[in-house]
Parts: sequence; structure tokens; C-alpha cells
Amino acid sequence: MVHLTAGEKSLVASTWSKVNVDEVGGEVLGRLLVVYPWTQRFFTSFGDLSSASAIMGNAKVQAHGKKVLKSFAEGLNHLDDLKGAFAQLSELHCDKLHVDPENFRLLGNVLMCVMARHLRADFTPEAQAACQKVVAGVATALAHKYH
Amino acid sequence: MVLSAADKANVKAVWEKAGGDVAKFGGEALNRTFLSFPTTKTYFSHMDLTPGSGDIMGHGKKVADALTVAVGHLDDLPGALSKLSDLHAYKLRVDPVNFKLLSHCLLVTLASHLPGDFSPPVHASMDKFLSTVSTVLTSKYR
Repeated sequence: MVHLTAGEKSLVASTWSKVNVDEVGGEVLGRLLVVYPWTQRFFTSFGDLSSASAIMGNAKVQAHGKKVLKSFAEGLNHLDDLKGAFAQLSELHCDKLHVDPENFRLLGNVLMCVMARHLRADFTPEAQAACQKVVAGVATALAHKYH
Repeated sequence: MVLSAADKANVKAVWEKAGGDVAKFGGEALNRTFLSFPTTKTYFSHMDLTPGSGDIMGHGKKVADALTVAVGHLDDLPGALSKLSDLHAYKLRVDPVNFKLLSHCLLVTLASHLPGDFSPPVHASMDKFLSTVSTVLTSKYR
């Protein structure tokens, strides 16, 4: 369960409002695949992932990254019940996709770096701290139905 | 994990670009670490941990200076960091999990101040470099 104060919720909302979800999703997934190349194991059907530029320019990576980030964004509307909000996705990631939950933590941290890159000084230490709570909560929620 | 020639070039380039700001970046990374991961504060009960305090900025400079030494000795990190490795193993005994937390906040700090330089390959190289430094600093723990 993620425990955010009213101030932190407001900070998350205002920080997130500055993010262009369509633009950033592809960058987040792309950087995950570049920085932690073993994560490519889940995307063998995506075509050319042979170099950083191939990955970042890959249309499937861009499209899937957008999908993932949109789903994350939807979760921000359910901060009081992330486990409920992500229950079905949790089952999917365990039973069909077989993704180690450690990968959710890696993605969350890459998202933090990308937000910092785009928001610069607006991604204050306080904003980061509030957002770190959210990504940790989402990662835990996505792992919740694992068995 | 080995730093390739490209990794070394990336690390040197971005650290040089940071230039005189590395001390400030070190302080900011510590600030971010203490705020995002409050358990890390347990190692600093002797310091004023008010965000941006002189203690934090001073310690951030120390961390940054050590990383500058590391950047200058990428071919022999164990040698260059041997004394720091002893310090962390026998005196400070910071649990290894915390190095990942500070490393992550260093990446966030660099991303926010050098967005144009923090390309995906540079991001990867810096992550590898910080991970290697962390491994060296915890290498004598047991």
C-alpha cells in the first residue's frame, strides 16, 4: 500500500501533468532495454534491438512503451488502491508474460531518470521522493498476484 | 561486468562536461537519496540532514571528488579506490543495498542537469560505472 500525504499526492499530480506521456513512454522502455540489456529477453519479437540507436528508433518499442506508460498513468488515478487497479495486469505478467517483478523496479527507476531529463529543475528532490513512492507502489501492485 | 572502451569514453566525457558542478551534483544526489530513501539517513546521524545543509553539501563534495578520482583511473578502480574500500569495509560498513540507491540518485541528478548529454548509451555507461565503483567499495566486506 502506498502512503502519500495530501501534499505528496498534489506534488505527484502537478509533476506528472508536465510529462508528455505519448512522447516519454517510448524513451522509458527504450532506455530500459539499452541500460539493462537482459530485459530484451521479453521482446524477442520486436525486431532489431542490436544497438542503442536501433532500440530507441524501433517502432514496436515506441508503441509498447507508450502503452506501458498510459497504463501507469491510469494507475495514478487509483493511488489509494493500486493493488486493485493493477490486479488483472499482475495476473497477466505472472501467468502469461512470466516477467520477474524486479523488472518493474528497474522500469520505475528508468522512468525517474527520464522525468528528470525532461522536467530538469522541476523534478525537485521532493517531487522525486513522492514519485519514487508511486513507482514502488506500482511495482508492488504488479507483483501482488504472483504465485 | 566490464567497462568497455566506449563506456570509459562516455563516463569521462559526461564527467568532464559536469566540470566544476560535480561537487554540487554530489550534494544534490545525497539530498535526493535522503528524501527518496529515508533509511539511508541512518548512516548520518552525526550530520545536519536538513535538505541542502552545509554538512550534506560538504559530504556531497567528498563523494564527487572520490568519483573524479575513479573517473581518472578507470583502468584500475580497485587500486585507485583501495583506501576508500578499506574505509567502507572496516569503519563505515554501509549496507551494500545503499550504494544502488545513491547511484540511482546520481543518475537522476545528471539527467536533470545535463539532459542533452544523458543519452541512452551514456546512461548505460554511467550506470555500469557506478555499479562497478559500488562493487569495489564493498569488495572487502567479507
